Amino acid sequence: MNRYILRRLLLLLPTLLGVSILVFGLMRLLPGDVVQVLIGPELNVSEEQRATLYRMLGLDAPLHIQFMRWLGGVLRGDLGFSLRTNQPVIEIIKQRLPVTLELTLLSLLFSWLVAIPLGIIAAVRRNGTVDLMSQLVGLVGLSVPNFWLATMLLLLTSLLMRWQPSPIWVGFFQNPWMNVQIMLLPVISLSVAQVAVVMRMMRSTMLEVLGHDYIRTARAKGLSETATLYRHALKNAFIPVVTVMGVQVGLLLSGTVVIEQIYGLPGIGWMILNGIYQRDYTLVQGGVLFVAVGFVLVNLAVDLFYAYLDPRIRYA
Amino acid sequence: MANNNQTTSNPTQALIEDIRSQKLTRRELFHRAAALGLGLPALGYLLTACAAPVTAPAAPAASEGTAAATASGEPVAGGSSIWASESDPVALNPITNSNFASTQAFEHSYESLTAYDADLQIIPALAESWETPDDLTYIFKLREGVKWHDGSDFTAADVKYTFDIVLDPEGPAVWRSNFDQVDTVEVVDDFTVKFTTKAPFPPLLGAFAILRSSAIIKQGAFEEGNLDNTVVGTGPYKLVQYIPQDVIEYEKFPDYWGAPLPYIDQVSFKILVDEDTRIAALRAGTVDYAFLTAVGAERVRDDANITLLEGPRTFLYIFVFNMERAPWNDVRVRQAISLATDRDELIQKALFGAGSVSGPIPTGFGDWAIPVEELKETWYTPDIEKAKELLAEAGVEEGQVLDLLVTDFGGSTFYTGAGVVFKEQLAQIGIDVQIRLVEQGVFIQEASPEGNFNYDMCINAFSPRHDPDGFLWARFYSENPYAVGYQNERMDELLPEARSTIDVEARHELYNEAQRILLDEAPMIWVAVDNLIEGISPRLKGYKQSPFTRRSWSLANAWLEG
Repeated sequence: MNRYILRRLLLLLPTLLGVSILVFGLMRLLPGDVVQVLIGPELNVSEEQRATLYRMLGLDAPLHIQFMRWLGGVLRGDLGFSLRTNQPVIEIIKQRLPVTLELTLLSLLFSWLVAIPLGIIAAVRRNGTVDLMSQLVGLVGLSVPNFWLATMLLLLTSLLMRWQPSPIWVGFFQNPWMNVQIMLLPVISLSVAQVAVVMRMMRSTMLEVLGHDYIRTARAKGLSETATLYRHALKNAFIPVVTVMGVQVGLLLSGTVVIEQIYGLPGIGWMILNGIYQRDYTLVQGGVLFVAVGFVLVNLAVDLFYAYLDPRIRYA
Repeated sequence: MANNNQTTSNPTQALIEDIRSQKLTRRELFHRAAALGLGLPALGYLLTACAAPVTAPAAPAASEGTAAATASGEPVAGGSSIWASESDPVALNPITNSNFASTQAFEHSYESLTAYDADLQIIPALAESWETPDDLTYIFKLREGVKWHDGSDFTAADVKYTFDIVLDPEGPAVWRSNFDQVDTVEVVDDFTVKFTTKAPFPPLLGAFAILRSSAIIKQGAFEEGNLDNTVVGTGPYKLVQYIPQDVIEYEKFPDYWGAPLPYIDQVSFKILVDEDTRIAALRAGTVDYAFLTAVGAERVRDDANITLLEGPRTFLYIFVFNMERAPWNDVRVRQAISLATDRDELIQKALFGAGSVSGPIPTGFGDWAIPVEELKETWYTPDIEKAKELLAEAGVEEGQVLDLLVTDFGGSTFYTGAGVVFKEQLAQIGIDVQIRLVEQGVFIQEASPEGNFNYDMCINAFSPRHDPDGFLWARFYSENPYAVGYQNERMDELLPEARSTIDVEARHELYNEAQRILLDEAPMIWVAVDNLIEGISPRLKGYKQSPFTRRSWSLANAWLEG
């Protein structure tokens, strides 16, 4: 098992190298560069001045040298400096990580707490009221785009309740009550679709598992319905659900851009998007690399969790 | 600053009285205004303020909820306030950043030799006074006892240091062209600086005030500090921290030379690029200020928690021709397109009515602009038949494709909305506009000399400029790279002459002639200036709109009630 984990961690290296080359290359392929964006669309700036700006930003070297310099830094744990704000990229990520992590964890937690029990009940009482309701909720949850929901929530709370949380983000450990208020609407906006996905997944895999022979055996040997459900069915039904959850974590780490923008939350996703607009190469490279590491680690954790859920799964 | 206002406001008041009673000739007026150091745009505001018939810069909606309503009562010091900022400054280096949002962020902390007040009058800032012994020399007497935010003393050496960087032909100052006529900067003594220019250069005082590559930085700051993220200035507010895309926090600088300004102790600008969020925050009272579009303003017009301010601003939307390409190099084709462009419809549909038509110098930019009535009568009345004739004469066939490059610069509904309206309008004369909507960075590349001006037309805007020269020189003087193929001998004579003519009336005549040539030849389609719409909470007092959307003067002079 340990060897497996080690091997998977070692495999992380080529993956990240691939990601680095890809993101470095893609950023340079974008039309327009950081100096042009800095100067803007109509200023009369001489060639000599432009050359100075490229030199100041370290962009006067050939591309492969720039890449090697950057990669060398990354290997030493130095993601470089943002080309626009001149801050260490690692510091910027550190500043934003709490926002993204909290948003991700809370919306996952919220969606699981709602979705998993609902999914189980829907499967057990198939075609019952709860099942029908859950199907409706699932359909609506999947169909409603989260940016629309976010805007509606803003409108309702500000217009009818005259309420908005502090516009400036406050960390949970600084002021928990204020933090919860700030996170409330974003978490709801993000969770609705997650609830729908997880619930549908839970319901269908549960139904499938409940049709298996070993469930019939469990019932035949006289186990109570609850014991059958929780000891035999649930763990097995969880495997595909865990897979879905793993993907969700990965997506949420970088994919909450729209919600971050609407609620003005300073998270990683928006940082990367703005970095792309500004052609802030080092910031985007560092940010994407960071998200890639997160994605890979979460996937590893999911794989390991399979082994716990199903003892037949063994990694060597 | 308060003291200055007292010294300058009385003569200004007297001047206003004289204009009202029509005692002055035009020449006397310009003479006296120049003596008071009134900015060029300011003079026009003065004229419109005193005598309504002179020009009509304000859009119809401008009378509603005016700035004056908030400027009552005695200022109270203290309190903290959160303002919504509609865009992220990205970086705060006042020398290497061209974007207006950056100026809007550092203007509270940095100052230059001169400044604008809310009415665009040029007022003394770090320079207490100045004299011009001849047309080529400006001697600035600097204010004594001014402190940097780190506690050290401001002296002439800082000014010299800043302008050595700005004027370096190979230096990183992106707005260096604002000072291209400056020859030397000399330190006379600790509190006296002498600027000499290569030719008479009337835009100079405004070039300081506009704060574009003109903020004075502390000696050594460029090499030592991180100017992109930290600020040591002399202005009313110290930067506490700037977290990109999140928040800019300021606190009152207690040693500010303009004390008792500023009144509010702490001000944070929360970056909320989404207008829905700004409106929600205004409604709930969590922010005291937000910039709004016309669409957003409609939604909150009846809200008792929000005071709407609405007035003209000198933000000029333009459609730019690439005249290096056929058939757009043919003046008849451009005239045809101008005749087919219904500017009123564009204002109604792309600015939701909150704007007014404009010529080459923006409507509302003092009395330099061609009056709206004349624009409409002479050039802007749509005439499809005549446009078709012109196109036929020029040999342009039905179905001619026009590649329209568009990006959404944000902060306005115009950019993306106008493209669609324009497409419909040109369809009437058989021109097939193909809208190419691209991301900002791509636009900047394609619309630059490096990208070889890859468009037939593009939609752009002039952000505020300090002088009429700023709207004309770079675009219509044929040797400049952004002329994009435009060449007119008379313009090549007029523009250099106008930018070095000190006499205000003579300058007016030169720019009047230049604008009329431009309107005839249509090297670009000037569409409109929009209205500046701002929503503020009723507890914010003393805030005045600036037609440049510059907020430093207004913030320093605003206070919180209760």
